[in-house]
Amino acid sequence: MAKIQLGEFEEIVLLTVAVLFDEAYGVSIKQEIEERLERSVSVGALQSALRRMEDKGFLKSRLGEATQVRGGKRKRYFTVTPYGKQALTEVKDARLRLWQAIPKIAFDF
Amino acid sequence: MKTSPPRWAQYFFRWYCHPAYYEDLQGDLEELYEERVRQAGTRQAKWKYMRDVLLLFRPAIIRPFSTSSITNPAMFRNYLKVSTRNLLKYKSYALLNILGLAIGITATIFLLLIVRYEQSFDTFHSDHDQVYRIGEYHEMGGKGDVLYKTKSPVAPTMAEDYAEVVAYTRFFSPENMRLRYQDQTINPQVHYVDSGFAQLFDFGLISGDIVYSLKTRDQIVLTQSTAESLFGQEDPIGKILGVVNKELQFVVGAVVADPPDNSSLQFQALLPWLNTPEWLAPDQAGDWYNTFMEAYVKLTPTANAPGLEEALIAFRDKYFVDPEANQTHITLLPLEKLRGEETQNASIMTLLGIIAVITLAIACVNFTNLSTAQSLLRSREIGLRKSLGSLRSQLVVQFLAESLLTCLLALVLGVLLVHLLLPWFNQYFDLPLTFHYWQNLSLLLWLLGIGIGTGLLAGLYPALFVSRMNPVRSLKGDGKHQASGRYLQKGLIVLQYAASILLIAGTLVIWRQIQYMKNQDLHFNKDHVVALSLWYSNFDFQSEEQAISAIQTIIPRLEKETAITSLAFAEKVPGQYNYNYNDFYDIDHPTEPPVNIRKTTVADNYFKTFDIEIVLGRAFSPELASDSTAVIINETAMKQLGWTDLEGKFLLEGGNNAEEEMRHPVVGVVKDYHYQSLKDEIEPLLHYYYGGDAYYSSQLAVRLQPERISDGLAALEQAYESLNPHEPFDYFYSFVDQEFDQMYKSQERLGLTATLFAGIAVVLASLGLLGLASFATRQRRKEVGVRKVLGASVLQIIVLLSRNFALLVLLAFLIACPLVYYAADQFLQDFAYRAPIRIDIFVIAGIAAILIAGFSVSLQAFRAASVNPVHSLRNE
Repeated sequence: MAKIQLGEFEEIVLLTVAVLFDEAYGVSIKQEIEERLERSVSVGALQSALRRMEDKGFLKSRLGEATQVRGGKRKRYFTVTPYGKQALTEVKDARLRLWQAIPKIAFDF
Repeated sequence: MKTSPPRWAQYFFRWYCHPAYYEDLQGDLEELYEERVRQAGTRQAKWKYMRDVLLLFRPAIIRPFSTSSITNPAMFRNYLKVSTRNLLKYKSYALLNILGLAIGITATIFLLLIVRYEQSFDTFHSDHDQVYRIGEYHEMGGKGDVLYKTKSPVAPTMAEDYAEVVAYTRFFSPENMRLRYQDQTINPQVHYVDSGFAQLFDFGLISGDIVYSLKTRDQIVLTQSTAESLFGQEDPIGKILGVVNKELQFVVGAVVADPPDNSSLQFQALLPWLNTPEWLAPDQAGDWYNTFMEAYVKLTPTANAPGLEEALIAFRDKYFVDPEANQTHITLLPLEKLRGEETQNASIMTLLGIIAVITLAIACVNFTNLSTAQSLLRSREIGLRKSLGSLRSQLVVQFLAESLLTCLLALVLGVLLVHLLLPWFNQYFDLPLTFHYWQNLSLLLWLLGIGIGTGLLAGLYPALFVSRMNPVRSLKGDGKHQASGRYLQKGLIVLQYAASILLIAGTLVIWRQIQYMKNQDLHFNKDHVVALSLWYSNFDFQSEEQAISAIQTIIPRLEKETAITSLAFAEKVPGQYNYNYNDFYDIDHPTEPPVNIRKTTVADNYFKTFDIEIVLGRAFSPELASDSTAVIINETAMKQLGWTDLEGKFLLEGGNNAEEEMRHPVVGVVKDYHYQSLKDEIEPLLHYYYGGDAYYSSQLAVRLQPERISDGLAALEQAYESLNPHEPFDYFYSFVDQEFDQMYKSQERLGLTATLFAGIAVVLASLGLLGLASFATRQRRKEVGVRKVLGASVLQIIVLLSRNFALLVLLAFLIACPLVYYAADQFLQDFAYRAPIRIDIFVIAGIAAILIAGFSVSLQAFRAASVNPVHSLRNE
């Protein structure tokens, strides 16, 4: 099986979508990341990451109900797919393996 | 107050965003915007909105342009299918449209091929732009005239005196020469040339050494076909040729390719200048006085021909012996202009070019008009497409592509038609045209450009106007032309008809002029006269003298024939007189300027044979010995000499020395007869006398009894055959009237071409009008129905429907009239004797146009008017 490729920003976006669970759409994801990680996120970067990961199969999306706010435009809600979860797990395991492989002395300042 | 994000950013985003993402992304952007307005104010929010829009411009978000519907295969197939269905549904219109344009394109290609062929003359020589034909410009009483001949020593002397002249050749064929190889004889056109010939012209050497041959006295150069007819497959080089009736022999030194059709220089054999007959020597005819030599010079690549012409004034003053020489200028005509000058067809070529442009314009206009009108029939399709979500841009592209494709189809058809018709065309017009793509690349590119232009123009109206229609209205099927479209169509119709009227009238003018020239009283009787060439080398005798005495014996025999009214020897018969002029002085006023008179030589009974009236004095008499130097002039010559009677009148012929100046008693004056085409004015003319029944080289003119033509011809043939000729009788006789009418061949060809293309133009214009009329009446179907219900008669409705078109044709007629007059006047300037431009030319052309238009329009109108109103009013 080909190794799953997941960039750092993509990993954060994917994790945030999981955190927000049923409430993950463009604006909420952006605000969540900005609050939790204290970094600013551009709409362009976020949206292109979301669409890219949807194409790869890490995410799936559905359109919500039209409401009076935002000019009557519907929201697109994202949820993580099992394949997306597998990707996240693999990245986490890889990190963990690396942490465990660090000799104690290395961090003994 | 509610604010909104910057408009341009919104549009920009909508334009580039993937349609599937647009809604939620735009929603996100607006939510963010409103949030930011609350937190940081409008300015900040707007700025950030713009930044977000710009940053969203990423591959993952942008719409996939490559799969837009225009190039989407499925959609494209649909367009093609709908286009084909449309063409098939309205078969007659589609045929009209495509065939009309194709014919226009074919016609244009043909005309331009003719023009191109004429322009290709003499351009195949590699140094043709350095080669010039020497001419002499003579000024006479304020009028100038160029003769593209010069004096024999001019070319060689120029080469000696001027460094710019690198080579020269004369090209002269004074007489036929019958060549013999073993028992075969041929009668080629032999030209004497200088050794520089090979430097000026390259006709393509097949074998041998042309440079050496043209320098060597006893050598001859043959063309390939001449060599083949003599030697077959044998190697011609080194073979020895004899000359019939002469003690001369030539060795074949080189063989060159046959001169192509588009060469002004035509020859079958070349002899080195060293062999020229004695009378061409510099102390005889080849002196500094006589102008008759065809000569060419080659200048250095950097030489300036007009500058050299200036310098040649001094050259003239140094050498020319004619006392009037200061009115003569030596001119240098570039070789590639020679054809146009010799055939005087430059104006005809311009005319053909104009006709080509007009025909093509009419065809294009037709195409545009028909497509525009037809597009209205498709308003339902447009409505349907629009309500199913088609964008206007897609409709624009659809219409443009469709008319472009139709146009290209017509273009291909037009080119195919050229291939199909070319052999017929060549035969009919006696032309050697060929059509190769690579030779006509620029022409084809032009046509492609014009085709694309027409396609775009034709597609533009439906694309821009019809596609704008409201789907609700267009689905109801009551599409109407915008006013602008109607003006365009009407303007184009007027243009088409004006052009058609111009062509019809032009054709009438040409034919009328030809008829006028043919029917004009020539003041001599050209009917029933046979001209027979009795050239002594056509007969096998030991010497010239023997041949001549044998020929003389047939004269008394022929005079006894009852079918022959009279006969006379002559240098040439009317219509074929040589371009032979000299200056003549009135002997009583030798200091007065001389009169330049054209001259010919006639023998006994010449004036009687041709029924030429002698208005003053008498005809030549064989009894009077003094008549051997006598001359007879025409009325124009007498007028120019200022004489009123012939009492003791003598003419002194100018020459380069006193010996040659001869006194000629003038014994008679003949009525001005048209000895040349009526295109040219009658000039002063003089007849020398060749007395007695002595054989005079060249022609025997024989007048036959009108009711016994075949008997007379049989008698002539019998007499001719008794001399054991090499060539058959047919080869050497011709009827003078037929030959005379041959001079109008080029005008007749022009008339034929103009008729053909005027016909095409008129047919195209009528087809266009027919198509438009049928669309217009279709649109007014309901109106016609209502009018009929309310009691209008069929005639009233026809008038109603045709009135507009009649007005257009009338307007076209008014526009065309001054153009016709101007064009006819310009065309007739070329002719010395013109048929008057009468009013009936305009009337006939106008009535023809109105009738043709009226017929095609009222046919449609009648059809619409005779429909039962029940059918047209049934559905709403």
